[in-house]
Amino acid sequence: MKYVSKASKAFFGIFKERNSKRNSKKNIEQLEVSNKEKNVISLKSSFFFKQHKTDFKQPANFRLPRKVDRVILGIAYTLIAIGLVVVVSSSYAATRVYSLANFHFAIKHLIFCAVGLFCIRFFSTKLHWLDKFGKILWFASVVGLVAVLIFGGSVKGASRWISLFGVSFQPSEFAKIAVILEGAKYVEKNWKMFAITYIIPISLIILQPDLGNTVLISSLAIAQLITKRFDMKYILVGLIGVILLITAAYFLFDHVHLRINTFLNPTVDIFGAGYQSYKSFLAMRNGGLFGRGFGKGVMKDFLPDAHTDFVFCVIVEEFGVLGGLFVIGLFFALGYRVLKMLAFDEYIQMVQYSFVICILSQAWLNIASTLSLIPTKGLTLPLVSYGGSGMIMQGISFGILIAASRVSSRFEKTPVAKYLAHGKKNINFKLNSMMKQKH
Amino acid sequence: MIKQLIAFAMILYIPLAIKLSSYLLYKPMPVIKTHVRRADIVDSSGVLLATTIPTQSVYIVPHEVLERDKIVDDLSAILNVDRQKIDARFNTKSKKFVWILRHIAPWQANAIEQLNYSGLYVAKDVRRFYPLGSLFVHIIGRVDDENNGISGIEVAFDSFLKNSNQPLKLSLSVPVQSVVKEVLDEAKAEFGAKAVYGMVVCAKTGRILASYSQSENFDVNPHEQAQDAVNLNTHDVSERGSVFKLINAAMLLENGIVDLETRTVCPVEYKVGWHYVHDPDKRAVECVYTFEKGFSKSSNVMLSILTFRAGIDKTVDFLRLVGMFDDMKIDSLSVERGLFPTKWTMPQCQTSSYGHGIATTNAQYIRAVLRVLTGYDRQLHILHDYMPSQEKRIISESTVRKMRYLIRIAFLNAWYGKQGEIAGYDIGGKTGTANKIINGKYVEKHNLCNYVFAFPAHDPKIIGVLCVDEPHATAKTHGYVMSSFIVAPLAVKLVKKIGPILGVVAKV
Repeated sequence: MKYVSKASKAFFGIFKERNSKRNSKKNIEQLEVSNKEKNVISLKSSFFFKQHKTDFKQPANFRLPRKVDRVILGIAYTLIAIGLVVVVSSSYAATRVYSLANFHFAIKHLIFCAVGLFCIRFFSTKLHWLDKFGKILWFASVVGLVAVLIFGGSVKGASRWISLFGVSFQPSEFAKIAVILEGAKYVEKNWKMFAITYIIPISLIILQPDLGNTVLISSLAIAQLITKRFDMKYILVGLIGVILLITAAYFLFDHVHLRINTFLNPTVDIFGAGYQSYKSFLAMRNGGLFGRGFGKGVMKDFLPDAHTDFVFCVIVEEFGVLGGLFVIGLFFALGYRVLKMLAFDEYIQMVQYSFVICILSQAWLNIASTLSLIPTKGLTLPLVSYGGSGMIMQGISFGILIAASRVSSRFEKTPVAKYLAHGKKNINFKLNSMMKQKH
Repeated sequence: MIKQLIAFAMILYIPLAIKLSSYLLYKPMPVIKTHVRRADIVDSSGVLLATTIPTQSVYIVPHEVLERDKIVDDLSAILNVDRQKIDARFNTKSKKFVWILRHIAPWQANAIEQLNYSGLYVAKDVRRFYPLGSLFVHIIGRVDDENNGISGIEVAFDSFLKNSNQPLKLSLSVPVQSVVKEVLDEAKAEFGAKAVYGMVVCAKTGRILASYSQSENFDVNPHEQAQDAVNLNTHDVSERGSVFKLINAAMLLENGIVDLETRTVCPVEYKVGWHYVHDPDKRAVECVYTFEKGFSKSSNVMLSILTFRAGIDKTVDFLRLVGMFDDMKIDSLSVERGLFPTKWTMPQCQTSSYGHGIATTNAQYIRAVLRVLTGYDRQLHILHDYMPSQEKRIISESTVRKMRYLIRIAFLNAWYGKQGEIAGYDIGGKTGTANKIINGKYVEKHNLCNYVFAFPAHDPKIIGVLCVDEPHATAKTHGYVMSSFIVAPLAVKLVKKIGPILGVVAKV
């Protein structure tokens, strides 16, 4: 209850802060005097993600941290906009299959987008209670995963959803955020807690079964471990070894040869296993450079779930290879931007990079399965595909990434960073040890 | 470490972009077996007889098709073809490639390309086109859908046409062919004949100037409509009738058995084997013919008697000399082999003297006439630039001169000769009417009427044979189905027209 009240205070307090900021003149001395109040300003005063002009006097070399990173925010907005357009176009076929109203999925997706935007806004200010949020979410998601196994409805052979008050949830989506937040806490300090954090949700998800999310969460655990525990040399050696093994198997065993050929060339087994991927390949190829135009694709007629798993295929077909490259470029830019904007705090850094790895790998798995590079997984394209739980989860992820961008190491040497370092008591996360040594 | 990992995650996106971009390059074009290169065929003066024109054809790759119904609707609208016909073409799952329609119009090809459906393609194609329609179809022949020759010149010179950059120049002449067609088609309509055909050959070189065969007036260019056109000149083996007297007379003169003035007593009927031979004029009394008179009156009895005097060996040897038993080819254009007895007896020799019991094609017969009237073992040629070979004299000069005299006399003594003499052209000719064999018996009034002509007769430049198969008697022919009433006037008409075209200088 404590956390809820704190969250609502923080959320609604912003309006107060903005108004007060406009009316009152403040300078750097005032900021230093009332540390607690100023810290709240620096982290939370950006409801519309707009840089407001400050009236106080700026000393030499003083810069305020950017309140949010507009590039990451722009990427999130663009992806949501693309998703809205494509889902409107592609869900039409699915409504016919399930005999629903024509814009059933489109209207629902519109609501999910609003929820997603709210999540981005909400979590972009909640840097200071991430660890507690993580703990609550972890317990909640474990309970949810157990409930799915007991009460969950089965869709296409896997029980992934649980219905609560008429709303369906997919707890495995929330488990992803929980394990990132919890795992980042324990990865360096506590082996046992780290193992428990990951093993319980993973084993519950395997039972569903949900192969895509299992792979994704396991890869997150490995990535967190690699960052803190292992050297890059071993990874490189391991990678080269795997590549050599695959190459040897490709030439030695016939079935491996056939399987890899099927992935590389979708035209090999077009009437058997590769039928769906071959049709999606044809549809994408048919799009050409500029696409066939909004709503003119045929892929949705072949795949009823084109608005969820195969949404990238619809993008390429209707907006061409250029549209597909643009979406790939957006995820690429996200990675690049986060790389530039890593926080100076270790815990935040770990959270930040876990989320970006999570988003990038989910997008990669989705696009690669659409392009027939890997077998089909039940993973959606972040912020683009239709789906409530996924949209909330990705909204939270992007919100936390945006929040973390505000304490970017870019501002490490500015007075504000020093000031934040001094006001240690008022923020809940640990600060960079390097910073500690300096002061 | 964090930076490296994120960078690694980003690097993984590059293969995705490459794979996606590679879709732009993928464009499967099935191998079309049509021979794109096929040389033109032109006549002796360079008029185009056959050419290859670029077209476009629409096809589908069935397993790439995504929107079948839309494609069928749009194609039936653009191509103006029944919807069900196009839909039926899609029902071939096993095939990788199916033609929808070949040789479509350019505007249709553009419209189909703009549809941009998956699995629907327009391919560059070629098509053989015959600008003169059915005029030369019997001799030039046709090609199949893959542009391979299947008949006539197209198959005889197939490898040349596929590999050559130069057009194939034939000895044929469009004006002469047109006149022959005009004259024969008129006769066919007038006499209700079953078929008409004829050849005109340059006597000096053996080049074929015209080779026309009976045909309906169909358009050869849409392949579906083109019927199988047989060249009767090279493929109709039948008895030629009295025109064979030309060859037999040459044999008798060459062997010194007779001279022009030799007299022969000709009875009303003469027994050859089991049969009695009559003369065509059906006279009631025995008479004496000189060889010249008997030939121009086309006396079967006289020739039978004289052949008996010559004997089997001389007759058969002479027939072999003029190439009756050869497997003939006109510059690799195939000609049907003639029918003749394997073992010759005297009655067979005697009947063969007036053209019974030996069947040949028109081409083989005209070559024999060419040899008789020139004295050399001359070959027929269809190419304008043929490979000349060493010609050997096979018949003496005096015999040749006498034969030229005989055909001139035969022309002048006949009624058509008296009426149709053209001053300066010196036409010479010989009629021939053969009864056709139906169910193993010679049937009256089902005749093959031939006429062989040469002009100028004293030194032939042009030799021709016209044939009318199973004409019907009219008032104009006085109820007769005979060559002299039906085909001989055609020859006069023909010479009147082609003489000036070929530049044969008239003697003044």
